[in-house]
Amino acid sequence: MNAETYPGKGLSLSQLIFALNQELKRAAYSPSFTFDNVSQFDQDISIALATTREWRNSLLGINRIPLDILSLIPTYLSFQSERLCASSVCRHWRRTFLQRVELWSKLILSNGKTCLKTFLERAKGSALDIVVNHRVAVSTMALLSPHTKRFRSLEFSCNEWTEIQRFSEVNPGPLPLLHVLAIDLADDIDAGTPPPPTLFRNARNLRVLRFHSRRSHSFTCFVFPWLVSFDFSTRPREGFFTSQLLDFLEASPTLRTVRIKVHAEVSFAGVPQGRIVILPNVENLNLTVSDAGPGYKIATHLSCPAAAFTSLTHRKGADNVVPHVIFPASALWSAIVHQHTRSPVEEITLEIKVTLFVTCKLTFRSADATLIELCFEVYDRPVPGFYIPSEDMQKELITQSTRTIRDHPQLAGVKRLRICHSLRSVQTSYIADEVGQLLRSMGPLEELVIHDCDIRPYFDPFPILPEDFVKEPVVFPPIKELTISHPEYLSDEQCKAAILGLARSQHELGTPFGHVVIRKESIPLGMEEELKQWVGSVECCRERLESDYD
Amino acid sequence: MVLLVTSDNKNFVVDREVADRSVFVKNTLEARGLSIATPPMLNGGCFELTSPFLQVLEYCQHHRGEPLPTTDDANADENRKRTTDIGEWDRKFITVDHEMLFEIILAANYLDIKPLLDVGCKTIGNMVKGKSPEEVRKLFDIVNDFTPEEEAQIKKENEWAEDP
Repeated sequence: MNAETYPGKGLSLSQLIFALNQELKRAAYSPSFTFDNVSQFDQDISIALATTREWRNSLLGINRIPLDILSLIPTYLSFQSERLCASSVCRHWRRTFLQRVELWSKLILSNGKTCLKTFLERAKGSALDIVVNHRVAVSTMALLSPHTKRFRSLEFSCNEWTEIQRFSEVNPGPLPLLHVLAIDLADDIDAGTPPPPTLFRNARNLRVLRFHSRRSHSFTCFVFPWLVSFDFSTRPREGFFTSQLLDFLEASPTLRTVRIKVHAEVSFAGVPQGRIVILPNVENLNLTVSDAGPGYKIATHLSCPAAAFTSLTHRKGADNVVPHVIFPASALWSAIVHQHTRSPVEEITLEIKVTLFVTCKLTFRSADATLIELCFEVYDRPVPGFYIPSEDMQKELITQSTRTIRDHPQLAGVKRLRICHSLRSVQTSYIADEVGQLLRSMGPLEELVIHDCDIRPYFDPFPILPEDFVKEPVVFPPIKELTISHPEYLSDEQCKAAILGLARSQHELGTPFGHVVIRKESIPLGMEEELKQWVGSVECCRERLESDYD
Repeated sequence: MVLLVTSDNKNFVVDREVADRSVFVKNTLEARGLSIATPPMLNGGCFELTSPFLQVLEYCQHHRGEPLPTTDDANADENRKRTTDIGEWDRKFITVDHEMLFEIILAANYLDIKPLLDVGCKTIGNMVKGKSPEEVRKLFDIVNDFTPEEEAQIKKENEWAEDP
């Protein structure tokens, strides 16, 4: 911009002032001075004043920011009202923000007709993301009917089936661009209303379906041949019927991502025992079942040969009732492994955390990097404050998790084992028995990592623990590399004695560790030198444990 | 090491890893196969570059070695835009006066340092968030330059968003 001219008009400042002066003189001395003249003059002054102010604003630091960058700023404003406010600050901002059509492409129908019209106008011809809230007037919905071809996503938030059906009827046009349909049904509003027989049948290119409901519903209303992502959550009091879900999944062979969250008793009524739905393209399967019995059983009716990540989570309330099934029983587990992995397991991680919450996670990584994750979570606290699970619960966690690892049908091929448990107030001898059984079941390992654990159970019968506590001492398989990271409960000297004892014992057994890594905040004096007598090589790293509370 | 010369002829010798945080510098160096470069020179030389450039260097130094955002990762780009969270270090770093903030944004844009540009834009977004147009004007010393007719139109458009 030329500094001598003011924006938009191409006149120099002196020309502008001269023109205004001439107008003033002409008006003051004109014999034909009328009301209209004054009005016109007033309007000219307004325009001139606005233009001068616009010129002033253009010299400000913020308005020197290039337009493409300035127009990014409202993308960080999530509320429509804030974007509208930003476009009302000055002419420069208004022009700039109005040019960026994607700022205006999200239409929230509950904001009313005026807002909808403004946004529709500003969105020009761009694809539209529409949010339909509860109780939107039909006349507001109808404003969208000429634009159905531009619908990119449709989100129904706290609606009833009847409202969704009404929207569908008011906007019957083609939906070639519609890729995302999200339905979040209102809680119990239309408990008795069944879903309409068909919904958005003309959305032939729908890729993503998100369906959240508090009740049990049939999926028959959804027929989308090219669906790639399905995200479903439900918490029906009357129980969840697996057969309906399986029917829907069977009819959606192009699915690549499936996320299912069920908070209810799971019923398998009408599902033959041998029924397996093959999902040939699913790469990511995430199944979470809360407060239910055999939730894992759903996974045994699915087969995902292309799965890269399978996550099966069992959640329960913090009532200290010890569940009989934390992880799937042997036969179920074997079926899950065979139906969701392609290559043999190579690495297993066991992680039990008892901190502000309880999680117990088993991760099985195959040679082709596919993962199966089994997770148990205690999700609430009955009273505010720390939840401390009972000793029985903690015992069940370590017992069932080590048993599930031992039950893995391909255990012999495992090369790496990582263990991390922070159990509280469980007898050391009990843990020693469990990890002892686990380690005895393993073949030779390339790597064993023991991280953030009470390591005493691993070093029986060394002097740290009286021998009579232990039923059967822990015997390590041949291990190339052992990492002990941030052991708990032991002084530096005890830790050094235990690790040296273990290394010497393995050496005497003829299976010395090839390499030992010790990670601790403080390394006991002389540890590295003394350890070198019994192992191939030693690496001691002084480092702080990153706490969950940090 | 890379020698960077600013438009006001100040020399900065920085590690290649630090310089490479700027896609502009990285591409220039790669294209020329040079270890010494003479950018950046901002257009028209109307900016006193040393001061924001020092800030930009501090940012690059802190974030050295972190993975650079890829241009083809459209989803990550979208996600970056949606979240307005700024890391603690970045938040302290960007707590500067308005003029310096604008200069940093200009420098980040010119030098093509997307994460820094993000931080700058998010900061302005966070400043604007929840404020009325009048409050935003006051914040940035902007004057209301709408004509009464334009104002009437805006008022009509914004009616739904105003308090009852």
